[in-house]
Amino acid sequence: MLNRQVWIVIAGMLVLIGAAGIINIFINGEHVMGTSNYVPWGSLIAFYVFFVATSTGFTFINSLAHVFKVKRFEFLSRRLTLASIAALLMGFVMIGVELGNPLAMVYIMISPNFAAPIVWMGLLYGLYLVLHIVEFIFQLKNNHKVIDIISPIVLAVAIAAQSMLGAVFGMSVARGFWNEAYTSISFIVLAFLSGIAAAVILTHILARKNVVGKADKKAIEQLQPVFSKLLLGTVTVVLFFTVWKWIYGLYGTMPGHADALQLFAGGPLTAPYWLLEIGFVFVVPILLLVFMKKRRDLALIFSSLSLMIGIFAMRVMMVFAGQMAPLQVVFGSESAQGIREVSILWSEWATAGFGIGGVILIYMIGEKWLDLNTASHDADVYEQKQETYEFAKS
Amino acid sequence: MAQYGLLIDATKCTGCHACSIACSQYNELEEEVDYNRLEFVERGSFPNCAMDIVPVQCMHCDDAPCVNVCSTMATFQQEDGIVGFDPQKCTGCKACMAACPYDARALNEARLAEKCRWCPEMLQQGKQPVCSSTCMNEVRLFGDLEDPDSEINQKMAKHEVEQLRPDMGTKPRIWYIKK
Ligand code: SF4
Ligand code: SF4
Repeated sequence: MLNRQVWIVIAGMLVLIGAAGIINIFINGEHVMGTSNYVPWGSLIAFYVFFVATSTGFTFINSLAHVFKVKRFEFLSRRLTLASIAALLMGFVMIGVELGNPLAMVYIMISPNFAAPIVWMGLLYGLYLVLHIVEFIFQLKNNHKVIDIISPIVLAVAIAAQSMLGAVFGMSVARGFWNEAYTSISFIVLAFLSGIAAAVILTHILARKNVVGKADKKAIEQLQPVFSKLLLGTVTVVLFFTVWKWIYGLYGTMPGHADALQLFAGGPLTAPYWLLEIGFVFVVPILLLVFMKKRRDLALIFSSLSLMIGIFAMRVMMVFAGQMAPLQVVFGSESAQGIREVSILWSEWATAGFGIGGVILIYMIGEKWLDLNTASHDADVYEQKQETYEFAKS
Repeated sequence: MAQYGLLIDATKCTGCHACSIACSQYNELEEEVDYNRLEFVERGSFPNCAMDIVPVQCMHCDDAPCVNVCSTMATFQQEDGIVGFDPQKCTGCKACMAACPYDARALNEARLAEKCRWCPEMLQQGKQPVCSSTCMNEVRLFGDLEDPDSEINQKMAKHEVEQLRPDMGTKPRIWYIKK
């Protein structure tokens, strides 16, 4: 397992290369992005969805402690909140680079169209960030009274924001692949899945690197069966959505929807779809979690890593597939044939790297300068731990 | 208030692209941007075949998805039914491009999702949009749908007309004379 300095170097390099990519996009605009007039939403939109959904997922796990009173998650509260804020901020960076216009937010505020899902999504994610920061401050102050009031609100806003993000796609009547009532619901379920997987990776590192004390290490160990069941259950629900999407698409032969599925069934997205979405999101985690019970720690960490890679790819493919099948503006016309080209260019990959590096750096800064060891709400469940915690030096 | 619409008789279209060129010149469009295009559809099989040409542009939909999704009202419905665009307010979010069922919008160098505005300056002078006035075959008839005696209404009454993708529920303001 990598030591702290190596993490900082990797994250720092990702941020630096990412900054070069971002500057390139700001200077050269869409010329250095894989988008076109036919595929206007590219990878940065997918990366935005990935980061904000992961943040929402962290909040779901966090809510188990403060909203649903599952005490065994409480010791992770501050760390989960910090990770969630970091992921959310990086999501904002992704959408900021995609818009490329710092005045965008000002226009939305002075001339909002309340019929537009994007306005609600922006408002809800803005509120979510503010409330999240307030929640974090009160967590650091150990003020459980306020936390108990604010946490359910944060959860409600997180769910509303994530489902509104789903609606940004789901309400696109022109895009058969997205235009479904359950797009918002599947967004929430997938956000939950990425939150659990990210939380497993985080806790694994915390325990392995002795960032947390012995008691918390033990508590993390005790969480493994819970995480395992949560992962397996949520993967099954996502699989359920995927299977029905195929059945509806093939049975209904709806323009746009069926065409998009063709991209996965024998088109340019076939290999990434079956390897990264079906393989990494379903096959690998299910096999590991079901058949590797004796080494649950390994099963958990590998299935979570597989899930994060798979979900990242899933977001990109969802955004692309909705636009790659040409719109049938004039049935049978030349331009309605074939497939719209799309790609991810280096500046976009670098921007994603900025996001990943940024999350790691923000989290590590918090870990260094803040006391992230949560004093338990309930003294009977966990003893107050006064050990000095720090990242292990290699 | 006049309510504008366009009737296209695509059977007369020769595919000369004069409308697109006039539009690009009038709006000083960049190389990769166009508001007006021609779609080509092959019918039959060689040697018994023919090519249909269908001019396509912003349909100025009455129930425009681009208006609904635009967060800043940069795209908006004017009183005369024309779907207007205010570049000052555009954030470049491209939601309108993703939402438009007609591929009618194009991003310019300034990352604004431009589209046909039916030449407001020409309308103010009582003239037709440049695509209509340029067409040598009078393929495009622009006019006031509110006025029962307008040429567009008279011609529409004489022919069977259709719209592109009415199933999208967008209620376009452009009609095509059926073959
Ligand atoms: S054709 Fe497209 S851009 Fe024009 S009004 Fe309709 S939805 Fe908007
Ligand atoms: S790109 Fe501009 S016009 Fe289109 S929805 Fe966004 S803000 Fe509105």
